[in-house]
Amino acid sequence: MTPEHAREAWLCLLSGKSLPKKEEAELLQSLALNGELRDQLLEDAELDGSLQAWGRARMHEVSFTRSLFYRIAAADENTRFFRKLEARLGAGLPGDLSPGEASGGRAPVGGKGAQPPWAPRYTLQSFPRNTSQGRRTSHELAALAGVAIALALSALVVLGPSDPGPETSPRMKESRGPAMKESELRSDPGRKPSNLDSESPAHRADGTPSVNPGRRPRLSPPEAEPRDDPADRERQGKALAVFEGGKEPVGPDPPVTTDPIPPPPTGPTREEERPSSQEPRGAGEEGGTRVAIARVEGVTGEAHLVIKEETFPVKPGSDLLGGQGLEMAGATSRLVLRLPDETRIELGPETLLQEIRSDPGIRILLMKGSLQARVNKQPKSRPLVIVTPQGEAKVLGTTLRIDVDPDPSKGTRLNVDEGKVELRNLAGKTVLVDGGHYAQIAPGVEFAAKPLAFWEGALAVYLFNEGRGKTVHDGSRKGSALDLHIENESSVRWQPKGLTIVSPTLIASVHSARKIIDACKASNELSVEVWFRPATVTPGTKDLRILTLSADPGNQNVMMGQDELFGPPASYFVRFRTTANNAVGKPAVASPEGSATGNLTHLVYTRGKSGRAAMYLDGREVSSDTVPGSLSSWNDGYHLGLGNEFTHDRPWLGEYRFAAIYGRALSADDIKEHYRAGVE
Amino acid sequence: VKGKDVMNSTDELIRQVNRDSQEGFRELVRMHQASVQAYLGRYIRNLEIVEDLAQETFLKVFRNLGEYRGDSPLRIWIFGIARNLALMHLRQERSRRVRQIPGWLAFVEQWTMERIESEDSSPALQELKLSALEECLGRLPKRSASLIEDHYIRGYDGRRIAKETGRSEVSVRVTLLRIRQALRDCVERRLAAKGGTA
Repeated sequence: MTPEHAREAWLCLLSGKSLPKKEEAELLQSLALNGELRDQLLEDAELDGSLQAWGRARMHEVSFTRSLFYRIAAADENTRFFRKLEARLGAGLPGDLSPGEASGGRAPVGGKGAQPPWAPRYTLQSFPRNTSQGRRTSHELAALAGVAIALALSALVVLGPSDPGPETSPRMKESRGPAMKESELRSDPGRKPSNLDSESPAHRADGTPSVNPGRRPRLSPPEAEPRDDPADRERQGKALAVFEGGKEPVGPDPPVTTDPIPPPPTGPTREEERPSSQEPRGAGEEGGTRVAIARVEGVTGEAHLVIKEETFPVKPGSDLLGGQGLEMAGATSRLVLRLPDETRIELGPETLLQEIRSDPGIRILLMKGSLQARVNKQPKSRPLVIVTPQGEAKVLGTTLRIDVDPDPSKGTRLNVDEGKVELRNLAGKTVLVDGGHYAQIAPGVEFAAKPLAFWEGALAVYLFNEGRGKTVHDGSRKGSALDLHIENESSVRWQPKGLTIVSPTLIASVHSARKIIDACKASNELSVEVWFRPATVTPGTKDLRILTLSADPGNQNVMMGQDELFGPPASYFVRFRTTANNAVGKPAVASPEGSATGNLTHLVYTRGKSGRAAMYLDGREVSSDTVPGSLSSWNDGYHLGLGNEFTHDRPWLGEYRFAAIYGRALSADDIKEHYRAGVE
Repeated sequence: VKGKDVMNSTDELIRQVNRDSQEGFRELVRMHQASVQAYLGRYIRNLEIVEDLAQETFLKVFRNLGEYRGDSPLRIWIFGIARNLALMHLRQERSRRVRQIPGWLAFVEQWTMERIESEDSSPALQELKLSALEECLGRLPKRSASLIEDHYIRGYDGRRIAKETGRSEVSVRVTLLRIRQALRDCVERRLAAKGGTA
């Protein structure tokens, strides 16, 4: 390989693309032999990494600082907890919690020689390691990224069970000299999981290299493995029995026909890219020919193809064959599958679809996580069946969502938006779930179809029914919960059905509201719905924040407030940023003068992709405007806040009963219905 | 506003922080967080971990600012903390493994460890390099600066840039490589002029 060719190949890897196995091996050989080239490219990779990190830091400055201050606050809180604990035990502070000492020698800048007065006063060594938990979390995410990268690399370079690879590989393994950095198999340069570091945690996850073809990397610590629990094993066994058919304890198999499921309309299967020894047999094969059951249409985050006990990275366009499964890693991962009949199936974060089969209707074994589907009409004799550890759902054509909680006590929950789904538990009892209803199979929960809450489908929902504590929980069950943290607990009063802010504070998400931002950007729509009672209709200051998705007063994605500066008095307003207006989303849509009252109020703002924005007060439209443009200018790093701006200078006082954010424009009928549903 | 003015403002900032000013610490973070992340990004390419280590760095700064003696620029002191954390992280990752990773990944790890343990990664030199890099970035021709901004700040990948500029993806990648090469050359020239070692 010439140096020029090696550079091009290197750039391919650096930009997240993969190389043919042979070409990558040649690149490695070139770099092993040409030290000057290797150093050049490695230095280039260092600079590239440095610029990536710098660019990201520039983009996420606000969220970085905010997260840091939360960590400091959390550390401080932990320290106080330890002190209380020690005091209760009467043992005094242990050595590693002893107060820090001022350093000796020259006086430090600032003249104190100690930590800032507002810092918890312990030495560096004594710093409570509560922060390591958060770090582990992100490292675990990195581990999952590592799995994908390492497996990709193993498939490409190191391990090829059916192909030992070029002669150069063993030589490369022997060498211990400086070498090139790992290519970055990155699909999104803004969020690039990458080489060395992201590979390493993959090994940490199960203590063995993720590139070992005989092992499947575990995606959770051993103690969290459900298979270690006999009860879980039993549940899994039952689910598998249901899934296998014939031994099904919950009823007969659907009638079997010999009609094959036709392959997807375009493109060949990718079986030739997989080691032949790993090919599953049985379902999905028609007369010895492997048939794709579904095609991966889109992937966000990390997703792995599961073939028996092994995992492989999965990309859009990959085919899913009979007997294969999918595993979603990370809190924001998503994957969309398309069946030949255009049925759309979306897998959510942390989902394990253990196996899919054409048997002859599609059968999906969903072990955990969430699955949403828009199922096109299926033949009666071949329904689509989703099997979970707690039961199975038979679908003939509908829009549904099914969640399997890793916690067996929460079991399986089926939401049906349209159509009908038959849900059956392991005892054989069947419930027909109509559109607008849900049913749950879980211990102690009545197995019956019940109406869905009006807010079902919201991206984030806050019911304010916690009654105590510093956290307002997101009850949406949509992606990762976007819980809100009350900065100053003494500034709020919990009510039987709400939360009242009695003095200025901020209630905000610890992390950026990505799930809201991503969904709204994708749909170009949004609705914000809040039930509240303001403390006063004539506050002394302006621009008070009821709900905000922002960084500061000058940078907002969307904000709902009371009494806009220069706006009508005793009113509410919403600013909504698009590419057609400025960073604060002005001009606002405002309710009429005097529309704010001291009563319990239902306020909804909607903005559809047509650009029409409207405000509804107590179920009635009170103002509207056109807000053109797209949401691509929305900042991904903003957090969600209630009761104040993140700069703490726009405090709103009053009672919250309900808040929800939707990634679609609610219709006027929806809003009337929500208003009628009430929160009392 | 370089040199003495910066030193004075940094000293004042540290005094503010020590005087119980959260705003002072916020400003200190604002001033240094991008360069700390850029420093860590040289050795750890997983950006989530870079950000995490950068936060841990500032937590340690927060806890230990009282121990900073002012005998080197503050940024170098902070880089020192970041370097130790990065090194510790890489060592921990290596020691967690039950057995040696396959050949090529071992090369990468070996190389990275050598780099970060060597003098070449010393906080003082890297601070000089990053300062020089900032200056060099500011002197890029407009089109190059625009490409760097699109790719590294806005996070556009080669395909998107290619589509928007009507060029091929390969051409975008090669152009980025050339700009990085020009930046490396520029940094080396500046270091040589200042008597440093590139």
